[in-house]
Amino acid sequence: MATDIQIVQEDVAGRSDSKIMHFSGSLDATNIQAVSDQIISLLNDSGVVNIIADFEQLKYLNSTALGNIIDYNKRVVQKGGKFILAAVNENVFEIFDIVGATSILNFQDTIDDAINSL
Amino acid sequence: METTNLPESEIHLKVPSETTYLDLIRMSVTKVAEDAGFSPEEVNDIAIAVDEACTNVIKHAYNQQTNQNIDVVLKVDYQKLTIIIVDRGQSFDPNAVPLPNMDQYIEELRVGGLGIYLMKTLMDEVDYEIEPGVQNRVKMVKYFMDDGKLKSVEH
Repeated sequence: MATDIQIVQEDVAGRSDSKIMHFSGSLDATNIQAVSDQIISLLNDSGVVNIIADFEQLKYLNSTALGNIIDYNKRVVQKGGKFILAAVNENVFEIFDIVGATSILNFQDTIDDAINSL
Repeated sequence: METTNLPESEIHLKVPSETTYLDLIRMSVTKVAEDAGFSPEEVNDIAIAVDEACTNVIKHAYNQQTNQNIDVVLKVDYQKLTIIIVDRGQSFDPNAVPLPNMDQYIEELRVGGLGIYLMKTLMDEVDYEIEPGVQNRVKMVKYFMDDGKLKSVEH
């Protein structure tokens, strides 16, 4: 059984090129591939170029997941969009911080801040 | 006074080499670290370090073979939590794993090294003992310490 992760997608009002993805649970080597499939499909098939990842309810991630998140950011930037991590809790932010990924990823304190930064 | 709530103890887990068991390993380590008296932040750090070590075993030492085992030993004494993780898979030179350069990492995704870097950052000690063809053993230690003093003698 894979580690529990739930993702709920939400439209951004007036922005058909943008999606909010609300993450709840943990990201590790058991479930990151399914998440990648979902995000890559969204980017390739739906015209979405901006993704706001709401991490408020994401309680855990490991370096395998972090590597994939860097990959999502790269894919989005290649499409001319933005990949924004919003409301990241302290434990999860620590992992990004330790490996120096905070300088290459876009963090916003709240969903509203993330939407305003699109 | 912050000190361990457990008497000296040693717990042995033998876990199949499948990522599906990472959650069970994290839960076990979290429970032991919580009961030992570590702060929530330290407990999270310990759980991540163990996850990274076991993920490396599954992905690299056992090359995703799921019919192998990982031995996880958790020892608590008055001053520290010691975690020993043993596999009998492919050996490697931990010193040859480069520390991540994030600019390079972006270009060469998932080149490895992040896990060991996290382990070394999050734990007080990380030591590998590699016996090629026999076993790989990593020992990680987290002390009940704050600013260089044992927590057990602090108020």
